[in-house]
Amino acid sequence: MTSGILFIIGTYEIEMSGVSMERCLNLCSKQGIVMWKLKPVENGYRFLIKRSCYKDLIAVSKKTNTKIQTIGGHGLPFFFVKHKKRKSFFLGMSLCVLLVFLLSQFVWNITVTGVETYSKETILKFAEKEHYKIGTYKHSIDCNILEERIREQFKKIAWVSCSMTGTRLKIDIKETLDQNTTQNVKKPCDIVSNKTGVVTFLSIKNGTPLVRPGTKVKEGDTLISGLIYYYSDDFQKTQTDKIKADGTVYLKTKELYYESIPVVQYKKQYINTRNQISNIKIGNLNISLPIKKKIFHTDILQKEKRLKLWGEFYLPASVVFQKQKEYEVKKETLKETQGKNILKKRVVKYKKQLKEKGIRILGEKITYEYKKNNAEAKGYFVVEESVGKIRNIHPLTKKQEKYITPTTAQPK
Amino acid sequence: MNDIISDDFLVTLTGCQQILIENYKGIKSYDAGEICILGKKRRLTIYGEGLTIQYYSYETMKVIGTIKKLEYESGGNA
Repeated sequence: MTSGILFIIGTYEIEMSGVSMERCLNLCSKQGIVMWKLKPVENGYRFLIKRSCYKDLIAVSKKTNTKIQTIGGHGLPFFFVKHKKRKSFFLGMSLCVLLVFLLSQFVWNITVTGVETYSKETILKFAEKEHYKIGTYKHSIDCNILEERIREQFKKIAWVSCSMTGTRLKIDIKETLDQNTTQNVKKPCDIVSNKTGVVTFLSIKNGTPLVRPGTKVKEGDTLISGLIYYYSDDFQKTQTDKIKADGTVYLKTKELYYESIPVVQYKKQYINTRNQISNIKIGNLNISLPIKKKIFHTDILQKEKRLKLWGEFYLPASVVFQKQKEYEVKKETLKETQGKNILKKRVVKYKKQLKEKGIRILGEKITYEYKKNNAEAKGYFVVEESVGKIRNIHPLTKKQEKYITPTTAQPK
Repeated sequence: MNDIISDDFLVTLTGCQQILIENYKGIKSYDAGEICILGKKRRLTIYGEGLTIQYYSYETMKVIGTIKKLEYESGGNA
C-alpha cells in the first residue's frame, strides 16, 4: 500500500555524499523530511523522498556541507512528463476504460437453463415482451417481477430464479420442486400439484396440508395452503394469517411411454470436415464472411460464441463458427431383433433419465411391436416423484376448511 | 507511558526480519551490517546482514533485513 501511495505522489531518488552525512540525515528527519528505502552505497547513502520535500533537502544539505545528487524520479507524475507527447494514447486508453464501464451497465447476454417442456426461445421471447432484452439498462431490471410473470405465464414451471451477474441475465427454471430447491418467493403462496396421482409421502415445513398419504389429487389441486387459521378453545376461527407454503410431496403417477423407429434407416458416413467463420455480429449488425459452398450431402453445424472480457462481462459482439461435414448415405433395413434391441436401449436410457431426475420407478409395462414400416415400444411406468409448484394464495373451499385440523395456537 | 517518562527506546521486533524503533535522537552510523542509533540515555546497535532502513522519520524508523544481534550501550547523545 505504501509503495502504491509513493508511486502515485512521485518520489525523487537521491544520492548523498560528503563528510557529515549522518548529521544531515538527522536534520532532515527533524525538518519533517521522511526518507524511504535508505541504504548505504559506495560513496554515501541513497534514498527516496517526496517531490514536495526536495527544496527543504537542498537547504539542509547546504547547511551540513553535504553533496546531493538526483539519480532520477519515480512515480506517476514523472511517467506523465516523460510521455507528454503521447497525449492521444492516454486519451484513447481513458476512453476505452470509460467505454468498457459504460457497456458493462447493459445486459448483453440472457441465458435460460433447466427448461424441458418449454423451449429456451419461448422463455426468451416472453422475457423480451416484458422488456428484458439484450441492450436493456441493467439497473432497470427487476428480477422479482420477471420471476412472478414467468410463473404466471407458464403453468408447468414450478420454480424460477432470475439473477444479474456482470452483463448476463440468468433465468434458472425447474419444472418440479425437490428437496434441493430452496424457495425464493418474496410473498405468501400455496403449493399446488402439477401432476395427477396418489399422494405417497408428505413433509410440511410451512403451511397447512390439505392432503395426506393416500389422497388422490388432480393437476392444479392445492397440496399445501399458505393460509394459517387460528382457533379459540371452542374451535371458532379467530384469526387468519398468510405465509409462504413450503414442503415436500411425493405422488405415485402413471408416466405414459411411446417410442418408434423406422425399419428402413439411412445412415451417414462422414468423409470430410471443414471449419470456418461464417458471421461476425456486432449488436444488430450481422457481417457475413465469404465461405466455401457446400457440396450436396453436408451437415452444417453452427455455433455462436459471444465475446467477453472476463468472468461474466459479455460484449455486444459474437463470432459464428460453421462446421461443414460431408457424408455419404447408406441404406439399411432393420431386422426384428435389431429393431427391438434399439428400442430396449432407448427404454433403458429413458429409465436412467428418470432416475437422474430423482424419480423412483415402481413398475413398468412396455410392449414391443415390429411392423412393416416401423418398430414400436409402448406402455407405461408407475413412478413416484416429487411434485409441487408455487401459486398465489387461493381461499379454501368449505370442504377444505372442514378437512384441516383446528389448532389452539395463539396469534403473536 | 513508561517509555516517554524514562526517555528510552521503544523497540518492536518481528522475528529477525523487521524492527520498528521509536523515541530516538538520530543515526550515528549506518552500513549493511551494522546500524548505530542514538537515544537520550543510551545507544542501540543493530547487527545483521543486508540491513536497510525502509523509512526514517522524526518519530519512527523501520529496519528490515536479517537481524542477528541488538546491543545496548550506555552513553547516548554522543
